[in-house]
Amino acid sequence: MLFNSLDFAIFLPLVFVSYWFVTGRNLKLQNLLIVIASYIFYGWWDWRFLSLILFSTIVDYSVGLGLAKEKNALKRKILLITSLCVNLGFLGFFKYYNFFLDNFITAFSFFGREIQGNTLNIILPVGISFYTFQTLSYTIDVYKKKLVPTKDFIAFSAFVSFFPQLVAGPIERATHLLPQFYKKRVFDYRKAVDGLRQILWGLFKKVVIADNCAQYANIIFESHTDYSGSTLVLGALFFAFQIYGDFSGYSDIAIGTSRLFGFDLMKNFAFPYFSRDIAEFWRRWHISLSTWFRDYLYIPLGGSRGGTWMKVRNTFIIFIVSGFWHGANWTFIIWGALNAVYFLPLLLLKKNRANTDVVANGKFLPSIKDFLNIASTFGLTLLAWIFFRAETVQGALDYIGGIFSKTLFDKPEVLPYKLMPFILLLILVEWVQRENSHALEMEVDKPILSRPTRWAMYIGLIVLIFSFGGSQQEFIYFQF
Amino acid sequence: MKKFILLLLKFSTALVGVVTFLVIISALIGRSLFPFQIQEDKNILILGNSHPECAINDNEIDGVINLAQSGTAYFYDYLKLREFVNKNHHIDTVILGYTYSDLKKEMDEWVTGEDKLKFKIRDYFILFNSKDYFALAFSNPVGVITNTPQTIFYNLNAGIKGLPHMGGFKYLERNKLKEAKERLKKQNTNETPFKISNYQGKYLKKIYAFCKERNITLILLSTPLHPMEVEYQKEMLQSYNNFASKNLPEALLINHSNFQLPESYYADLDHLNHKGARLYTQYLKTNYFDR
Repeated sequence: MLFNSLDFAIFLPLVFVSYWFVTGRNLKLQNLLIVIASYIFYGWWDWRFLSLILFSTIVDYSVGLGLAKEKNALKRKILLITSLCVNLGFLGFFKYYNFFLDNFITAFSFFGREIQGNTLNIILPVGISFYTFQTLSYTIDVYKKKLVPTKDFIAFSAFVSFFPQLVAGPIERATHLLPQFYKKRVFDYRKAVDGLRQILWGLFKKVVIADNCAQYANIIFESHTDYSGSTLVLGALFFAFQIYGDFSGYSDIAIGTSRLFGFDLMKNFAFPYFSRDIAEFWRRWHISLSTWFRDYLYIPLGGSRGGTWMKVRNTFIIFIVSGFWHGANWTFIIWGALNAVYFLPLLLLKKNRANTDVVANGKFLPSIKDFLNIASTFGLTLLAWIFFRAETVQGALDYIGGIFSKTLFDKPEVLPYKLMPFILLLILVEWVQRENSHALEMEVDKPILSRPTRWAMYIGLIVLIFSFGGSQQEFIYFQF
Repeated sequence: MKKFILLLLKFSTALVGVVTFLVIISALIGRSLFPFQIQEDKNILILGNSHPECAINDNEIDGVINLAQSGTAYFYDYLKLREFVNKNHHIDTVILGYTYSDLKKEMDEWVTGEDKLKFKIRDYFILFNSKDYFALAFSNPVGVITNTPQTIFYNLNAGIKGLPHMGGFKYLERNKLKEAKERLKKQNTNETPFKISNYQGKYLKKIYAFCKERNITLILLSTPLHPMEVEYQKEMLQSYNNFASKNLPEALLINHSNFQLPESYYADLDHLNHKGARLYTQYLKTNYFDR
């Protein structure tokens, strides 16, 4: 079920009313309702893959209980490895089987040995990378004794399958989300109002920005050899706003929806395109994944505590794995590696935490230095997105070659004037609100704008969503 | 919770009220700005979908205005006809695109389907009266309601853009005949038995009745089709003729679907490109309009 669909527009109020009124605010019934609703939400795409979620849930629940009882270090390790094998096994099979097979065949044929292998026609279950990482965080935290395993199977199932963030995150930590399923939820008016605002802004980003940018980005990327360098720059720009609108929009809707049910999810985006360097960008982009890799991969590898070589190695590992997480294609791996290359000088010069505050804090405009830093960081990101979007590495290289041609300063063949004001509106609103957790955040009790002004703004956004929504596209991150 | 529900109700009411107000106001402004008046010397109005849109260049024939537009169902042609005839009493002849496939059941989607509705409701909203709106809403309530707010901007845009907003001759450069032939070869010719579209049939009759009431000559014109397409659609020919003779007896039926053209004059199997349009327009001019 897509967030920007009629199905969801009917589904959400039904679940909301049942959750607060029909269950009599009984915690167990509420959790059960969340599980049922989440399975319906997921099954709307393909009910067959519900078995994967259920199996994963049962395995990790049992492993958690096993880890609680078991004192023997070896047996505890075996339990952890079982969970890792099951979860990563599913992920590996569904997502990476064909990739590895193709590359083995290519590698062998390079050395003069022809081997046979049949690729399988595998459908990738929606959101498998997200819920796999979420359940892994539970097993790892229980193993490390950071979390007491739950005995409540329904609460655990609700944690694994919680529909707002099941298919595209934010990837929640068990230590943060699971305890929320144990506590009695009380309806919080302020939280719910703020949640609705966040949903509205998320829909604007998805439907008006991402879906419209997608149309242009798709045309330009698919026939990039036909366009001038200037148009190719625009194509990359459209993709940058498409992926931001798409993914951060999804996260906003997910977080806002969770708030309607009394849950707090972690922030996933913090206005990343206003970053002044790549390190700051990665603290602001897909935060739940970056921090997951930091906590469960980078730090266990030694983080930045070791010598220079260790720092370089760990940085490359985390970025390349992050790239590979996005998809089984060399383009994603190069995208990750390229970001590591961007990041490394900052790390080695110990400037990776130079920009931890909000840019131009307390001012309306940034300084010239900040502005140039934002522009150069955005430029680097744009270059990396070309690898992310291209079908093949050669395609990405050709695209970049096309940009740096003599047609770079020609008038672009594609100039969507209709779309520009919306992108400017997005930038303006997010810039003004960059100190808040989302673009429409305001004090509910003492809002800075009067009610008629706020309502006019909301109605304006709703009209824009219905008027200028691009053709409905799936969320990009579903494929990951 | 009570406060939240009340707030939602209030907001929803305000939303519906403001959007309705804006839709109506913008439609009124769009209507008042739109140049419905057609030059006095143009007494022949061409309507229909992409077939006449791409086939007849009205710049090359005196006295003719082509307002056909791709993807337009007879429902919208009826609204266009009603509005333009009421504002231009000198129109005495209407040429309406009428090809074999215009009557098939699948054409209902051109009225009720989300794909067409999204674009057509916003293009033609300024022509709607409340009865038309509810007739359309009855066919697809959710689609019509969700697509209505977008008309606010397009109503105003229609007023600014003028006649090209409603249609006009389309100069097609493409030649995708080869791909179209390949596609057709893959299709099963006897997929479903031919059934007449409810909406197309109903509004074609309304167009006929409207023209008859105002003594306007209605010409049903099938523009040239590629021979492969004619062959593919031959099953429909009888229904096509029967429908016209039974329901539209006084309309003049001109079937040029077999009009001979070189291969390079087609944009695809159903449409002429600019070369085909030039030749066909000349043919019409010499054999019909100049007479």
